[in-house]
Amino acid sequence: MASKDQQKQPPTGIAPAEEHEEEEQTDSEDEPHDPDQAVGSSTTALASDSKKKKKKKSKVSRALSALKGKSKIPDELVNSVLDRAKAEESIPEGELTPDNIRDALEQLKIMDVVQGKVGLGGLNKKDMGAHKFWGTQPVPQPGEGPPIDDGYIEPTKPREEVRQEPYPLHKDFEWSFLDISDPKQCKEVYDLLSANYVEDDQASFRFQYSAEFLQWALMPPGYHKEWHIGVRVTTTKKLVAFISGVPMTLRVRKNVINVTEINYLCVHKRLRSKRLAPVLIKEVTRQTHLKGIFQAIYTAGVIVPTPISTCRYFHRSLNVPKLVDIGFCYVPRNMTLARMTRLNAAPGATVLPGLREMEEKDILQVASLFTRFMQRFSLAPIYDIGEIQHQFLSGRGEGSIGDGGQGRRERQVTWSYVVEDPGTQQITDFFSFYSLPSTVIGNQKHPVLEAAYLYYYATTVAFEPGAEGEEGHLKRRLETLITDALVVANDAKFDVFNALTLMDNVSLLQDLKFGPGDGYLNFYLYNWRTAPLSGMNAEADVPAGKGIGVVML
Amino acid sequence: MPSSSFEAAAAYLSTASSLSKVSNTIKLELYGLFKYVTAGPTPTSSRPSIFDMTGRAKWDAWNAAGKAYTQAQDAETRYLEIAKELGWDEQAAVSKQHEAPSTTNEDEDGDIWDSEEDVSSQGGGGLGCAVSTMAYTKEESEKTLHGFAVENNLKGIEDLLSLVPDLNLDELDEHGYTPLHLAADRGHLDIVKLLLSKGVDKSIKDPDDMAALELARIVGHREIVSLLSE
Repeated sequence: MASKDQQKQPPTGIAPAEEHEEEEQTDSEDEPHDPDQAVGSSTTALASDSKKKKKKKSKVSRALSALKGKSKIPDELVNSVLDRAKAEESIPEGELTPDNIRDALEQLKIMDVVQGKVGLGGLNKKDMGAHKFWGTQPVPQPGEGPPIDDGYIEPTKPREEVRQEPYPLHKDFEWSFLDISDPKQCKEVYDLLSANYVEDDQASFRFQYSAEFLQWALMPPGYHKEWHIGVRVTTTKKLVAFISGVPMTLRVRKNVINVTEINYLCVHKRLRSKRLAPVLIKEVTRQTHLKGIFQAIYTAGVIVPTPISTCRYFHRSLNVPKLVDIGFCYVPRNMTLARMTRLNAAPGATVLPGLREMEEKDILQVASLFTRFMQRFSLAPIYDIGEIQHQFLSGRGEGSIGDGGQGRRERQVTWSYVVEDPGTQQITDFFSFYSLPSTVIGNQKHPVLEAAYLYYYATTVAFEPGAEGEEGHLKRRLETLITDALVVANDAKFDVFNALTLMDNVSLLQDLKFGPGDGYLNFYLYNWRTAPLSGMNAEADVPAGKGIGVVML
Repeated sequence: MPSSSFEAAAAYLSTASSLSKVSNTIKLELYGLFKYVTAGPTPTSSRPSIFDMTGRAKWDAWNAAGKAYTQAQDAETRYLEIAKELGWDEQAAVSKQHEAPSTTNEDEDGDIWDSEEDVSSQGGGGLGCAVSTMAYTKEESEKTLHGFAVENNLKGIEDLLSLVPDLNLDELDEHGYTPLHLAADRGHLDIVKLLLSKGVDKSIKDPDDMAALELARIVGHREIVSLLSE
């Protein structure tokens, strides 16, 4: 995959992919695939009948192309949507007026999509331009359709055939491995990410992964220092870009593959024109190949070729007044903040008998419960005992609860609880969540949003006959279990509890008063083909969510 | 030849978060000084066209620096001065320099940093998780008494009162709230003050059987609570 780029590489050695200027140009009318893509690919569910859809869409797409640069929604587009909606008969005749359509399109901010400012649901942005880079990578390409069989795209190479020298960087920059166990180097990554990592579309919030979080996430058993890759400024040694991989055993449907979990790709805000991202991806890929790993899993808020699934974020408000104050959520006109606060108040105490914090002695039972429970999802990690210990216990912090603020130990990253049956002393359930705060950009009063994210959980109820389904007792048990998680998170002063539409979450979100978010998460596999998996939407006969059993940190 | 202090200050400024709060004027001055010190007293290229606003402003700033200073040393001194004001600590920087001795920068233009524009929010590559907030459909702004109370539009209410002096300020909206309920609930102190000065009824209960005081108390608007308790 490297050779093609190498030949084309400019003498500066910087990134093979396009320059920004080019990106702008290729975004123009004569490449209708861009708006098309934005309209059609928010889920891959459509891939199978993409041909048909394409034809139908060409009219829309022409209309879209014709109106770039204008922000008012043109009649041509409105009429085109009107015609299609009539043909599909999915909306009552009376509601199909041009004004309604126009309003709906305006709400979708369709003009921003057309003009490339954002993609649907806030996805994409300009990163569409990155498709040129992904076109050189072993990933399913747009328009391929779902594969007949699961499997690799490029065969595994013997070590001596892997490129031996690092990809060249411009002489202003140099490669550097980061030793995350060294607090100083870990702090460098923290500083880079907390100032430059992912923000929401309004640039109001930016992830603030703590140093202890990074140590937990980047140093699971068997991690490789060579997969924690930084770029430094040659003169000052300042860290300006980073990418990481950690090893993971992943089951994708029936196949178990060793992959690297790629995360924390970050380039300094003011070096974004240097095209460091593609060369970082290529270098971490090379380092992965050198260890004999040829597949990867990664996620992104943006769409690049080609997601295997898309999940949506949901949010359970805990500290409503603060969330409103910082603009995380709003008070609808028809109610009061006081009522919202009351409606979202978490219960005062947990209800499951035998609920307690997970301890070392629980590892074996949790491991076996986890393994069995996760078999219910199409895509799931396989953890051995050491990994279970790491994922659920190593982030519990130091000292006793309360040392790090109410409900928290110092440096606590994860909260893991088990339910021990008081009669049999068996572990029947467990849940976990992790702390991932965000900086509230430019807010003096509330500089940090304390967010808890639902991590893995399991219950033996899932193995009882007839447990699944809308009326089954699995749904009820998980509601109780996750409500207890909300209580624990509320006690630890989290402002909000977040979850994605994966695993069994979809069935719980509404009843537990989660509200839909404006963020989406796309799941990707590198060098592995598989058909789309159920995430936000159901796929084939798998209910929504249950395709995905991997929580990315 | 720029000194090591200069290089350290430049490295600091290129990433300092304090810089995001600094006016463009200062940023341009810094740019002009930087170019003076690293590349020469004045630009060698011709002035960019009016359509390249950023390029033109930068060119002008460099040109101005060339006119203001007769030697690079003076420009450098001024540069370090601004850097210190923006929180650069020479001592800290020097010790850091010691640990990681900088190699000689053969390319005289160490100006590797982008301008502030065109910074995307996706972390530079888009991989990773996404930041999400509660999805929200913006509601139409209502040009009514209650709408102004919600939006904290003091002037709106004052204008309305001057147009309709006998306006009923205790009127319930379609959801059963008075303007005072809404302002107390949303925490709009000035509106509450205005309404109280007009003698509105504090005791009216909302559909949840709560008066304005209780709303403000639940939500934690302390000033409004004390105002309404008087």
